[in-house]
This record gives sequence, structure tokens and C-alpha cells, in this order.
Amino acid sequence: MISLIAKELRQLRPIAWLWLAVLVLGYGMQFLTERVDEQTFGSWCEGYCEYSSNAAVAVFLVLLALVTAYSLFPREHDEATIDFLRALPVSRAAVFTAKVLAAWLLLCAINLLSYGLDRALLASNPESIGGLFYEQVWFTLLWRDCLFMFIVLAHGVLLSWFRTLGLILYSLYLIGLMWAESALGSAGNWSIFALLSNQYEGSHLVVNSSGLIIHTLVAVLVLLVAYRLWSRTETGGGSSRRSRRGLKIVNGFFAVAGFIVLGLVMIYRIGVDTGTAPSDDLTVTATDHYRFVYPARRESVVQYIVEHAETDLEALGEILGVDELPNIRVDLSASSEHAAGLAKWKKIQMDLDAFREDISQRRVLSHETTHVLQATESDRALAENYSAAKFFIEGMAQYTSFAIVPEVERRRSNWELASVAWQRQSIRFDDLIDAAAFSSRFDAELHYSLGDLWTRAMVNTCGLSSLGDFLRATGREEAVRDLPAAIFWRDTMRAIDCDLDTVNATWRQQMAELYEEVDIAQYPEFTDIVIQRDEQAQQIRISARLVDADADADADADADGNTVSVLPERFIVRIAGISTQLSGGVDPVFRGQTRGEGAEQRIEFLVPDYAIPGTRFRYQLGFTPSADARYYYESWRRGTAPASTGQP
Amino acid sequence: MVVSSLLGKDFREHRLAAVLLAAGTLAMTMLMLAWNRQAPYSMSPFEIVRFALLSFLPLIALITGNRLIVREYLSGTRQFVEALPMGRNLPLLLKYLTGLLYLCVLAIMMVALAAQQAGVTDDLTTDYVVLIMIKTLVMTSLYWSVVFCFSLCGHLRIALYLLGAALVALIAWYPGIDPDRVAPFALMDDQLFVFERDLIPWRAMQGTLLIAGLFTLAGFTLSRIGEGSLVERLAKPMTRRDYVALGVLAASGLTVWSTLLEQKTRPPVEFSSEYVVRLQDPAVSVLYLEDQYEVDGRKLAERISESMRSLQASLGLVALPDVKLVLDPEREPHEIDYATADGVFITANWLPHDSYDDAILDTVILHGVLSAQTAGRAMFEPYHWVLDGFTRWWVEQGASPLRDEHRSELLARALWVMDIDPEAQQLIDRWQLIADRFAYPGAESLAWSAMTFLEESRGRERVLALASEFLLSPLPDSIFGTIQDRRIDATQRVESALDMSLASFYEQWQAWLHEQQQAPGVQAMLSSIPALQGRLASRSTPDGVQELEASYEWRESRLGLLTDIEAADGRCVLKHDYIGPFDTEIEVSNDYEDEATCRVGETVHVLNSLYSPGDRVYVALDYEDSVFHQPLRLHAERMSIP
Repeated sequence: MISLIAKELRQLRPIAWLWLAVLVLGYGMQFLTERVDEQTFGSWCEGYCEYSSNAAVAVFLVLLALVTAYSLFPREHDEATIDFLRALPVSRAAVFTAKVLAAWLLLCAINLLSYGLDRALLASNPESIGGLFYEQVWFTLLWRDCLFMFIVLAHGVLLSWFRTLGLILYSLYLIGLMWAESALGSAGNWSIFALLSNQYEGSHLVVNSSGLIIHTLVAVLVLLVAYRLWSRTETGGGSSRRSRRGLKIVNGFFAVAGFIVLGLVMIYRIGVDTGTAPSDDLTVTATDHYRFVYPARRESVVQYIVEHAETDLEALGEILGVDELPNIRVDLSASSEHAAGLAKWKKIQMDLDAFREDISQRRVLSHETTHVLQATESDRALAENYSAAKFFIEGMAQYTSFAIVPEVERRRSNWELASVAWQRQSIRFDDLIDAAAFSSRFDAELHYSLGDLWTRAMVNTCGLSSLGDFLRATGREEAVRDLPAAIFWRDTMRAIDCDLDTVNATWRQQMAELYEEVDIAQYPEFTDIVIQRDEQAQQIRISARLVDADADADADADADGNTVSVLPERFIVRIAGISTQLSGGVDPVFRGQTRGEGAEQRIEFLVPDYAIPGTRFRYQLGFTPSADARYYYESWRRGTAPASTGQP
Repeated sequence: MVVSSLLGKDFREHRLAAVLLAAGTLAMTMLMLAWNRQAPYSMSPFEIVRFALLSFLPLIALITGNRLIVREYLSGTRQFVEALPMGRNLPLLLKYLTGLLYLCVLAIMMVALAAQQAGVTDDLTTDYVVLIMIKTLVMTSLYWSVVFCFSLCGHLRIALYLLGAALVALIAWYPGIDPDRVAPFALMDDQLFVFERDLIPWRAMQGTLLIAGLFTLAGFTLSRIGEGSLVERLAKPMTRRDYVALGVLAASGLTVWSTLLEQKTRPPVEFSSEYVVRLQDPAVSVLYLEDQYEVDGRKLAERISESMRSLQASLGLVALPDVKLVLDPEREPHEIDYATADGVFITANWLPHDSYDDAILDTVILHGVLSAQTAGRAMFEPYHWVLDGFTRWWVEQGASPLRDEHRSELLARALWVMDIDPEAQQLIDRWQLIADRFAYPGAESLAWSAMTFLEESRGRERVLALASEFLLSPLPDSIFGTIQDRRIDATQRVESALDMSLASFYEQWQAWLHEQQQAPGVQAMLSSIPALQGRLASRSTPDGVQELEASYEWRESRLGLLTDIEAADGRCVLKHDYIGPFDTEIEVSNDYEDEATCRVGETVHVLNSLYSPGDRVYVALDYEDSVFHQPLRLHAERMSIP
């Protein structure tokens, strides 16, 4: 067996050279662009070691293993060289095992080499903190990658029997995972990417053991199937008519099965989705620049919207300095739990059930129309800087829509909520210009109201025309793409002669003034949070007490006796999504209920345990400060649920 | 006759696969359309056409090419066809047209299905459908041309597809490349492909057709080179070595290309407000926001400019980075934001500053200047103390006499640090740990005291020599920079600059520092510090609430610190923040803090439900009073919540 493995390793030498060349190229780039002794364990691990997992790195590992797997059997069979091996006095099982083992050993060796080199490079950092090395994490990543390689290698050996079709089937599997993550929030242990998910206890990396065990067992089974197929497959030259037909039938079967599976997934998806209004009772009406389609039963509100649409559009155009107003198609028949409206280029969709008041619907139209004008005036460039400009994209739309369609109370309520979050959660401009980081620390909805207030500060500082000028500046011919967020803002503001720092100073001053006016009693804080697992109900129970915000400002105060003076209307908990970043999903939310009375009163949230795989999770507690207000969310927290015993 | 025979042959050979593939494609399209129709905020059924063009139509083109061309070329059966009296081009042309026609029919059917699904909200007009159809067919022709060309490359095609996929990924996602300037990407634009109805993307379509034409031409040319001998050679299996060579070549090409793309430049950011003081040589700009702050802003600009000018002269610096300062009147006096991505950019509030606060701000600015001078290398731990100590020394006494009250405060803080941790004298090896434990002011005072000792014992020139050793030369951002910098050990370099051994430097500096304890000003400062140390504990209450508690207790001290808690006029402040699983330097902000009256022997701070088991948290306990300008860090700890 050892000589067989050695022979296979010799045969795999060109593949080894290829992977070595890739490694050398990677290290070459690193050596030419970095001072290696300044790299820390965290920077080495960036993009791979964070909480959850990173599909981009995983895809590279998958490719590595698949290419190696595809180089094992197909060529031997195509060139009939497998016949020489079969002529040796060893069983076909031994040949198969030797090939797979050799490929795995090669992949492990590449891994070991890469991890070993990284370890040596990290050792060159002498810093007392930056130079710390995390042996357990390094070693765990190493063996987990090797195991992952084995799993994908096993898949590859089977898929390679189907040649190109195998890759198509794997692509379908990946599409299925993407769908599951976008639709369900997670593909669970079905996803091979979940095998690379990270969870930490302090600095100790905890791997997805159950996923690894399941997939390893499946990989062994897959190898058995692959062995059956490959050991019964004759070489290209000597293949019988019967076996070729068999191959065709199997190929055809899997192709059809692939489509059917995908079809079933989609049919299921259709079954679970929310729907739009039926199109047969839709009516059309048009103005100079708008074409509205709406359910006939919403005639009255639509008439109100249509009545003001052109004047509102003209006012918007004037604010933004638009020379030529675009033609916009508006679909008022949409339905969604997550947003009142959506705009894409020159089309708008609105959910008329999102608001009760007609004036609010009119304002949503103005908001979405602003997005259309943002896209056309910036030639889509603003959206290309979405992460840096999300708060401004939404904030400007809020600002202009409220300016044209005043909803004083709603805006005031939004501002109040934003000022409390700004003050308590210490939100700065630097937080605003990184949409992903902002959403991971604060309530993403704050982009709207904080953006509105920031836009107001910009207008107060640089004038109303600065809004349109900014849009056109982002799309100007000489604008440099992909700038870091802070530089993008400085560069664009400089292009319109508006000082970013002056705007920020105005913004901070206005925020502080707003906060001074807030009735803090309406914004209590959650405390005494307890997280328990209810095995029987398959739920995680999060319960908390509400206290007045200033009740425990000093430890001198005894918090035990405090109760909240104003009990909010509704309560909510948001659980952070647990996808592997294959595609975006929405964080699930769950309503809370009050339990008990007086000092014993607690708010209880029941979260289905499928929403929290494992034990560590991130969550955000919130409430509505008044009946008509939006939810106010506290900062994200990390929680730990007791491990499941598996027994109800 | 010949044409119909050839077409008939292909038809017989591929009809089942073609029908199955078409049925699968259309079934998938219909399902996706149905899904799209029901999904919330599905904007248009034509988005499915775009999705199909980006996802499975390339796969279908690949399968079609494989069956129609690759098989025949790899198995050598084309030679039978070529032996027929019809020339070499006609069979290939027929295959090209057959494949194109087949894919176009599929594409048209997809558009037709989407159009059939479109409702009144989509405002379906003939012009619109024709426009979508044309865009779709243009893209389909591109796919087929690429597949056609690559299919004639035999075994090399897989490498070419991989290379093509890498190229597409690079254009789509690589920062610095604008995909909108590349025709097929512009045509497939996320917003314009479906939703732009008024403007016809002539340029994008022409560009895409041109690329398609080039690939088609390349395919036919390939088949004619050496009367087909090249195609024949390519049809032979590639060796693994060929793959390796190709892989390396492709990866190298992509790397070089992406490196070249990094060369784009932009003008540096500038203030455009009228409330700016601008000084040249060295360039210092101060944004002061309002008229009333202009005088302070001008004073600051002149002070910084003067300080930088004399520093430049003393150290012989050739050039200095631009310095920009922004006033933020809402900030605390020592809340300074600092960035060096574009010169030195500082945001601070200098309005309530006294001379000590000014010195702190000036030090931060010079820290940025000298850090930029070395391309960031001055922040490397073995030399960081030189950067911190020298900048503070330069600000305090480099260009003007040292103020007594500054000296007392800095010495008192340095003594206090050494009193708690005698190991803190290991400036080269423990600088990050010192800053982590005692915060930036504590570490800085220690480094300043080392510089002051050096000045007083060995003269000003020795301090400048030490700075010149570590703070002048920009170091390349590469392994060559590392090798250049690490050829000589940091300790040896320090010893060479000091002209004494490190051990005796430490010894003499410590002795000098302890002598300074006797100065009345220093004693007065020390006697205001309570001899406290902090203690942290994480626990879970019987109810299951996770709490982090902090308390204070007395510690032994030889500095004559305050031992009566009632006499302490300061407040005890707990600062905390999440840290990741891996340690890096952190300066905990004031954003998350709990301030309380200092008490001994009991719990002073309780963080309720903020952290949970498994979290890593940095917790600092500071003492803030009116005697010292900056807090004294009584305790700091990186905790893993059990």
C-alpha cells in the first residue's frame, strides 16, 4: 500500500507544483507589499477566523480539493493507464484507497506547509501583544482544514465520475445553499461552508463538531459509492457499449434529478412566500412623469397621491437641481413586511399597507422618488459607494420627503429616537460611513433618522443646493472609484466646496440639542437579562427587567427596587442572522411579553431554538417608546444559551 | 444537400439532449418567474432573464459547445466530416450557426416567457420587449462566441474557462476597476438592463458584439492555422505540466495587472471652508468653524508650524507631511481623533486647553508626523517608546524651556507607573504591555522621563541621535523593509545611539527617576493619588444574570500616596469594551464607562447583563481627579468571561 501511495504521490507531483506555485505567488505578493514582522495573529486570520464563517475563503479550499480530486481518476480511465494498475497483484480497493489517500496527504501537506510558514512568519513579530500566538486556534484551523479537504475531496472523487456534469451538480448544490441562506437565514449543517464556522470561548476556537462528524461520515459513504462506480468503470478504449449506455443513463438521471430538485425547492419557495395583490384588479393612471399601477380598492389614497405627485416631483427636482425629470413607473400593489417602498433606477414599488395615513403614502413616494433622482443624477455612482453612503442615501430621501410632505409628529418621533440612540450608544460620523459595521453595532434603521438629521446639518451648513451637487459630484468623470469611506466623503465634499467637519460639528450640536428635549422616562433600559433554554418547547427564553435610564447611573443606587415609570407598548428581540455569507438574509425578530407585576415584572422573549444554532449568539432588545413610534433598539449584545442536552 | 446532411447528422446526434436541455431551461425559467411573481418586492419578471443570463445560460452554452464541438474534435470524428468534399469551413460554420441559433431560441423563449408573465405593473410595450430581447441576444452571442472559440482549444479550454472566470471576477469585484467601462458588464448593469427603457445602450451593445466577433474570428482562425494542425495538437491531452505552467502564467498575469491598477492617484483632501487658517512650509491647516474661534485656531497653527519647522531643522528632515486639524468644540479636551491615511489629520477640541493640554495635542500631532516619516515603522514595539518619548520631549523642552508644573506631573505619573510595575522599565520589550496596563499617558510619561534623563545626563545631542536612529527613514512596505530594519537588533541600535549598555541605561534612568521623587512639586502630585488597586470579578447571580463587578483595595506604596479615601477628590471610572478573541493594542474609549465615588473594600461598579460567558472584554479602572490632567489607570485587564 505504501508503495502505491508513493507512486500516486509521484503522479500528483504536477498538481503539487501547481499548488506550490499558487502558495509561492501568494507569499511573494505578501513579501512585496507587507513588512512581515508587523503581522499579528488577528491580521493573519482576518477574513477566516471571525465569528461565523467566510464563504470566500472556503470556496478557495473547495476549488483546491476539487481540482485535485478531478486529477485522480478521469485521466487514468481516459488514457487507459488504470489498466496497468489493475494488472498489478493488488485489489481495486487498494488502488482506490491509495489514490484518495495520496491526494488527501498532498492537500494536508500543502496545508501544513502554508500553516507552518505562517507560523514562522508570525514568530518574527516580537511585540508583546501584537506578537502573541494562539496555538490552539492555529492547530484547530489546521486540522479542521485538513478534514474539510477530505470531505470535499470525497465529493470530488464521486463528482469526477460524472465529469463536467459533476461540476454542474455541485454548482446546483451551491445555488441551493445560497437560496437556503437568503430564504431561511441558514442552510444549517447541509452547508459545507458551515463546517468552517467559528465560535469562540474566550480565545479558544470551538468548531462545529456535529457538522464535521456528519459530513465526515457522509464523505466516507460518498467514497464507498465512488469506489463502486470507479471500480466498475472500464477504461475509455475498452469500455463496453453497455457501460457507456449506463454512464449516459446515470448522467441523464442526475441531470434531470438536479433540475427536479431545484424545481421542487422553488415550488416550496413559492408556497412559503408572501404574495402581491392579484393583478386582475389593478388599475393604471398616469401623470406627466409618473405611471401608477394600483389595486382598484385603494382608489382614494391613490387619488391623493396622484394629485400631489407632479408638484412633489417638481419640488424634489428643484431641491436637487435636476434639469430633466425622469419618467417613473410606480407599482403600488407590492406587499412586504420589511419595507414600505423600494426604488430601482426608474421604477418604484410601494406597499400601501405599510402606513395608515394618506399623507404618509405620499411621503413614501417622495422618499422613493428621491432614490430615483439619486441614481439618475449620480449615474448610479452613489449606490456604488453604498456602504459609505447608505445613511446619506436614506437620510437625504428622508430629508427631502419630509421637507416636501411634512409629517411633523412622525419626524419628531424619529428624531427623538435617533437622538437617544446617538447619545446612549455614542454614534459618530465614522460609524455612519460603514453600513455593515453600523448594522453590527446599532439598529440599521437608524440610518434613516440619523441620516435625515445629518442631511439637515449639511443643508444648514452648505445650503440646499449641496444635496444635488453632492450627487453629481459622486458621478463626475474624474471621481476615483473604491475609495476608503472617510476619503470618499472628504474627496466628494471637497469637490462641492462643503466642509465635512463643519457639517459634522453642526450635526453633533443639533443632536445634543434634540436629546436635551427628550422625555427620558419613555426610554428605559433593559437589565438583569437571563437566558435559558427550554428543551421541551425547543425555545430559548430571554427575559429582562426594564428600569428607568438614570436609575443605575451610579452604583450607589440599588437597582433591585427600581421599576420602570413608563412601560413601553411593545417589545422585540432581534437575533443576528447566522448565514455563512453566501447570500444576505434578514435578521429574525420576535415579540416580547410582560410577565409578573411591580418589581417582579419582566419582559420575556421566546426564540425558537433553530434561530440560535450552537450556544453563542448576538441579539438586540427593543421596545416602542410610544404607541405610534418605531422600535427603539439597544446596542447589540452577545448572549450564551445553555447547551442543549438533547433531551426534552 | 450537404448542408442539410450535416445539419441532419447533428440533429440526430443531439436532439434528445437538446430537447432535454431546452425543457430543463424553460422549466427552470418558469419556476423562477413564478417565484419572482410571488416574492415580496420582485420588481420585474425580466430580472429573471438577467439572472438567467448571468447564471445558467453560460452553463447551457458550455454544455452545447461540449456536445457540438468539443466531443467531435477530441474524439477525432471531425476528420470523417472534413474528409467529405465540402471544405473545412462549412462544417464549422454550420456548427457555429447551429449552436448560436439554439441558444438564441432558448434566450428568445426566456424573454417571451418573462413577457408573458409581465403584468400591468411592468408597462409592457413592444419597444421595451424588443430592447430586452436585443440585449439578451447580444449577450447570448457573446457567450456562444467564447464557448465556440474555447471549444476549439481542446484540453486547453478548461484552463481558458478558468482564466476567463478569474478575469470576469477581477473586473466585477476588484477595487479600482470600473465594470461600467467594460461593454458586457455595462450591458448587464443591475439597474439598466431591466429598468432603463428610454435609452438604448448602443456603446455597450457594440462593444459586446465586437468582443463576440473577435472570439468568433479567433475560433475560425484557429481552425485554419496550419490547415487545422493547431486545433489537432490542442485536441491532444494536456500534460499536468502544461496545466501548471498555464496556472502560474495566469495567476502571475492577474497579479501584475491588479498591481498596476493600484497605481491610480487622487489629489489630497483639502478644507474648502472659509474658516480655515492655512500656513505653508510646513503645510498646516486649521479648521476653526466659527469667527469666534479664529484667534485660537491661528495661534495653534502658528505654534504647530513653528514646532514642526524647528523639528525639521534639528533632525534634518527633507519633507514633512501636511497637517490638518479640525476643531470639534463638543469634545472633551483630551478626546483626540487621529488619522494618517492622507497626511496627518487630527480632530480635537483645543478651546479649553491649558498649556499641559496643548502639549498633549502637539505631541499627538508630532507623533503623526514622525510616524508618517517612517511609513508607520516608528509604531513597531521596540521603537515605539522612542517615538512617544521623543515627541513629548520635543514638545515640552525640545524648542522651548520645560515648565516646572509639566515636569512635576510627568515625573509623578512615571514614578507612579514604576511603583506599580517595576518591569515597566523594559521599554523595548514591553512597550505594548505598558501602554495596555497604564494607558497612553502612563506609557508616554515613562518614555518622556527616559528622554529627559538622557538629556540631563548625556546632553540634548544624545536624544536627537536616538530619534535619528529610529524616526527618520521611511521603511519600505515589504520584506526588504523588514530585513533592512532587523539586520541589527533593536537593543544594539539603542545601545549604539545611547553609547552605553541598555542595562546601565535602565539602571541609571531608574535611579535618576527615584531622585526626582524628592522634588516638592512631584511630591505634591503623588500625595494626591490614592494608593488604590482595582479588582475585577465576573459572576452569575442565582437568577442567572451575568454581572461584572469591580472593587478597589489599598496597596503598598513607597511613594507617599494618599491613604485616606475620604480625602481623595477624584472619581473612580470603569471603562470597558468587547475585544476579539485575539489580542491587539486597544485604547478603550470613554463611550462605555461607569463613574462612581471611590470606595474601598466593597463593590463599586456593576455591569449588569452586558457581557456573557465566552466574551472577551477589556476592562480598565481609572482614577480621574483635578490634579492630573489625564486619568491614572489603577487597573486594566483583558478578561474572558467564564
